[in-house]
Amino acid sequence: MKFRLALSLATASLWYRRKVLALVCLTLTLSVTLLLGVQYLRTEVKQSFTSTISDTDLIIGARSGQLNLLLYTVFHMGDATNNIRWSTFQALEKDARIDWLIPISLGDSYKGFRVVATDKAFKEYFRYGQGQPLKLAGGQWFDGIFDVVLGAGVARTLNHHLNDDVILSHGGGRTSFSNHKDTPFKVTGILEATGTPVDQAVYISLQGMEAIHVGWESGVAIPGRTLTPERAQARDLTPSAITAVFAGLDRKILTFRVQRDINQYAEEPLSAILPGVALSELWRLMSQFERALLGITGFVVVTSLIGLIAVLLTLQAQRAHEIAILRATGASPGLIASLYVIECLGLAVVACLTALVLSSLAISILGPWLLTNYGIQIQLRPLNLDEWVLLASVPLAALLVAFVPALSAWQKSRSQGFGSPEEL
Amino acid sequence: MLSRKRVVITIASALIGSPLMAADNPASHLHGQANLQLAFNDNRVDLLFESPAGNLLGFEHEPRTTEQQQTLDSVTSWLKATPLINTSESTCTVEAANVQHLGHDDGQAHAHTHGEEEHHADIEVTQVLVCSGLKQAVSLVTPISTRFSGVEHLTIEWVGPDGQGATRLEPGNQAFKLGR
Repeated sequence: MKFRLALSLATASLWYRRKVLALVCLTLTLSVTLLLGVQYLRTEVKQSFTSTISDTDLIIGARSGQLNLLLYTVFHMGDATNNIRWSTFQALEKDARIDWLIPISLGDSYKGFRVVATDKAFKEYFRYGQGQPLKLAGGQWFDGIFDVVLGAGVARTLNHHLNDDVILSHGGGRTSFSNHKDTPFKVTGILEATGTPVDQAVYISLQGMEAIHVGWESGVAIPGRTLTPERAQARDLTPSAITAVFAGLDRKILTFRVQRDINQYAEEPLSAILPGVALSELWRLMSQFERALLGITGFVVVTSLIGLIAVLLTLQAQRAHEIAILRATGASPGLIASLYVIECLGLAVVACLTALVLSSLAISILGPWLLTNYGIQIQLRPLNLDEWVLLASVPLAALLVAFVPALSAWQKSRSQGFGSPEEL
Repeated sequence: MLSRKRVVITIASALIGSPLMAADNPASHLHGQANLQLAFNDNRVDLLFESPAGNLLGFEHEPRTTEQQQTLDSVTSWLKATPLINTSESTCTVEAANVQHLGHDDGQAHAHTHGEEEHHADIEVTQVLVCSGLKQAVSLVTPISTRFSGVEHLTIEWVGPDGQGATRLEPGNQAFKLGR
């Protein structure tokens, strides 16, 4: 009965001061949204980083360190130490434990973006994120020798559309003076944004890569020896070497065994790396960055909670008049105290719920936009345990804060001597 | 100055040996460091643990005293019988285990220099474990770093249906998260 009375009195009081309270609630909501946002971003950055490549069990390249191999094949950073022979790729194809192989050949660029020569297996088997396949935003995957598919970032930055002509440059520089002018490529497809380095590359066939380098054996085009698109069609363009191979296995449990066999391959010195393991190592190198984000989250938590306390205390300080009237009409000190607690807790819970809804809406609306325009992948996901704890700390802090005015009001009410003697 | 004979031998060995030698570098041997590779499939774990023998035994030569022989025997039987990873509820049992002592005479990639008489040896352990509740396990524990104080850094790599990952356990740490 007393609780219902307290609840109805609290509701009436809240409704009476609704304009001020709406503003307070808005402040709290923004604090909680910021709190959740920073924490969410911290975990998402790591998630986005570690899901740059998925479902690929091994990356095979010339003998080198695992980070080097990962950086030049997946992140398109740095260069290959050596190539691997095409015969090695064919030998790998015969290995019954290997389900699929994606050959890649690097070395050229297009206005600063890497050119990746590969085959149809790339479109079919390459996965990122939680096993998401590559999708085309328009057009189709390359079929002809001089077809090119652009990553979403390349198409956006250079404002390319389907059927545009593209002239690739020899080597990796942004401003290369040796261009493959005799063999222009046609844009046949543009990939959907993935938020991974895939967006920042252009994709051609291995035959295309081979064709544009005929007559370039000395590093520059020798007039008369380069191929024309017509002559290229009639020529055998099987590559003699490729840069690396992505491999998927039938049985994941064999990964380490296949890795070991490849590392001991007698015909050629090779390195097989586990991309997930290499990514973990790379992230460990960048742990300073994660720690910085954790520090920012800590600051936001502390400031938000202090802000919350300040707002709630200010709010309660303005209620002296109302409380005096309630006491004069016979409200007990316990009832007055419970009014404070209900109000603070109610405000905090409403702020948390609104913040949850607001954050979810913001992520689901802004997520695709961020991915398309900035290549940042943030997906809506259920909160993890840490985030629930963080969220629960808000009503908990509010409850603790509520006890300060509640106790002081209870003490004041007793000393003022209102109410019946048995309540004191 | 090289003699003609030596030059001929060097060139000949380079020509004959290059394709095989290139793919057959000796494995690194770094005291204090050990590696653990785990492959998960349902409730089954295939694991491979590699460590310089010195980390586990305190010596890398053949046992010379009874005490050293006892140490070798007790470590070998411990490595055969104890699951090298376990769930937090200790549900793993060893289905099969093999402990190999691999000796090297020279040609090692050392992290530090040694006297000429020192030999190096590695211990390689393979185990097949069955652990109920492995699919639900978020973190696992390993008794290696507490059992062997010589293992200062333990690199753990894993593959499973949920992907791959790696971590590095510092001294005193037993548990690691699988990051699923």
